[in-house]
Amino acid sequence: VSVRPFYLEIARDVLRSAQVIGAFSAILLAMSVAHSFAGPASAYSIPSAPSYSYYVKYTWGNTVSFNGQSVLYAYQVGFQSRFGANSDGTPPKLIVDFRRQLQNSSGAWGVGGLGSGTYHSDAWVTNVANAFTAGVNDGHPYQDYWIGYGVSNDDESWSCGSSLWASAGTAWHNTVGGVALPLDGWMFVANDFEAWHNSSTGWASCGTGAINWENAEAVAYGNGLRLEVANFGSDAHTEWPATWSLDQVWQVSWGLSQAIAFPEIYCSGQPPEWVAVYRYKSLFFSAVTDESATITNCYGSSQNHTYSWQGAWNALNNALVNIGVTNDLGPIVTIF
Amino acid sequence: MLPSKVSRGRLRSPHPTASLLPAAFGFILIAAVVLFRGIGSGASSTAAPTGSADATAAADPTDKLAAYESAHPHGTWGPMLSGMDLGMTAEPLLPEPDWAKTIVMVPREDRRDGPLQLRDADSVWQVGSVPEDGARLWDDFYVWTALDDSTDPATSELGTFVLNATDPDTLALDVVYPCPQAIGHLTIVAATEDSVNFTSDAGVSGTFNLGTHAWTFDLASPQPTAAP
Repeated sequence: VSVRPFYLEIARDVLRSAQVIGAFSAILLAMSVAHSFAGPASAYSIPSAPSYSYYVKYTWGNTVSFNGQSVLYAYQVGFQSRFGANSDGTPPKLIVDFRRQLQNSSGAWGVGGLGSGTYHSDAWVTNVANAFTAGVNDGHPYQDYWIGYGVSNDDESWSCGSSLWASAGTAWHNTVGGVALPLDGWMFVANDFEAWHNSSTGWASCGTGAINWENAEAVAYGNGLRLEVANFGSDAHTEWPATWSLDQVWQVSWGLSQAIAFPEIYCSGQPPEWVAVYRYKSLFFSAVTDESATITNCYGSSQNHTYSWQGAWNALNNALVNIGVTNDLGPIVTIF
Repeated sequence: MLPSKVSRGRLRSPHPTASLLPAAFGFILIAAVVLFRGIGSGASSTAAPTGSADATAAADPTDKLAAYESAHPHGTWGPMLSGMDLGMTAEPLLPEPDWAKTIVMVPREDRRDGPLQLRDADSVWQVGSVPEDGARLWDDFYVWTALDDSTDPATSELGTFVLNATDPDTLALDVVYPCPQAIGHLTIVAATEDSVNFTSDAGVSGTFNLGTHAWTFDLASPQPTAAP
């Protein structure tokens, strides 16, 4: 039996190691080259047009004539609705805001704040929402879009620990459950989650209630369908930290399984607030929610000016870019 | 085939500094790039925010939405109620519907979670509606008042606003008119389609003409000499 000198054994091992390292390095080098040519993920660009969202009025339940057929006015609004556009084909998104939920004297759920000072039942909401969707279908054939049916959490007098938050979430789940999916688009749920602090009464909403609402709302329907829940409100933690933690804002904006973020950017003070949420935990901002408002004291501050829809998207995008975030703001603006 | 709901792919573009330069930094640097930038995975290029240990904990949003779409096939949940002919256009709603002519004070309950201008205004009235899209829609026309305390002395302002406006003509009606006198908070007490009447907490009453945008003050009411 011949025995190789130990130095030959060492030389062989070194050679094999070098081969392995060399091959591995070559693979990594090739990947690096590919990555260099692909470049870093670039930012989405501002859309070329916004989608217009709606505050529902009681008049949406009125009947009008559409080419000789009686339809709800909601149908006509949906037919005439305007969806935005962007360069990468991401579907535009709009929100139909039914303001806030309440119960009538019998305990039946509905909505209030639609302009007539009266309660409208959830059956009325479902009927109006179906009419709006049908109008969108007929006015925008073969177009891809998202329609969100939402309310706010401005439910004054509900205590933070009240079971009403979860009950209201279930009620909205059932209400939206009666609305047919768009033919060519998609549907989602929306909530204008804000602090809504009332300086007269001292009431403010709370993060716990909002999370309970969303957990109750965002359960699957019988056929397995679960709808995304868009938070199109402001940063409630900044507005009223006593009842909203930063984590709770993040939860209803991204953390909960169905949560997606449509941050409200009405005023110049709001982009840094949402960046603070992002810095707490990252999230993807699907769309910017703007409002066509001209007001001197935005949220009571003369230092706070209102934005155009372009200004709103650019302001949030710039605020994110300033902290090195280039790809977590979608190319969508929806404007009330 | 399920239509795309979101842009699932990350946008890629040629990089001006594309070169073999990364190779020069050696194996360790390359490995670091691979590990932290997620080559070929489509993961976000977002830098970890300062001071946030959980900054990259969230799932890729495109994955999240794609998974949602995949789990919930489109178009299987209930029939639509419509059935109009494609290509049909809406007719103008003329003459103006009676419900569009409403002139009414709007209580806080009906505006507290609505448009920004109206939420915390001192006083809001709906003064009829304005046509939009060639009168295919009739949008509420509002007049509101609020105190601008950024001025010294504080002055009130009166604004006009169209709910759900989309046309340039109706969007252009979102205007603020500063009150030429410092007379405190204004409360609208009456309105017609042409003008609104107001009183102030300084005891001054007057009128704002919605057509000419002219302010007139009742000389019989107290006139302020200083800020209220």
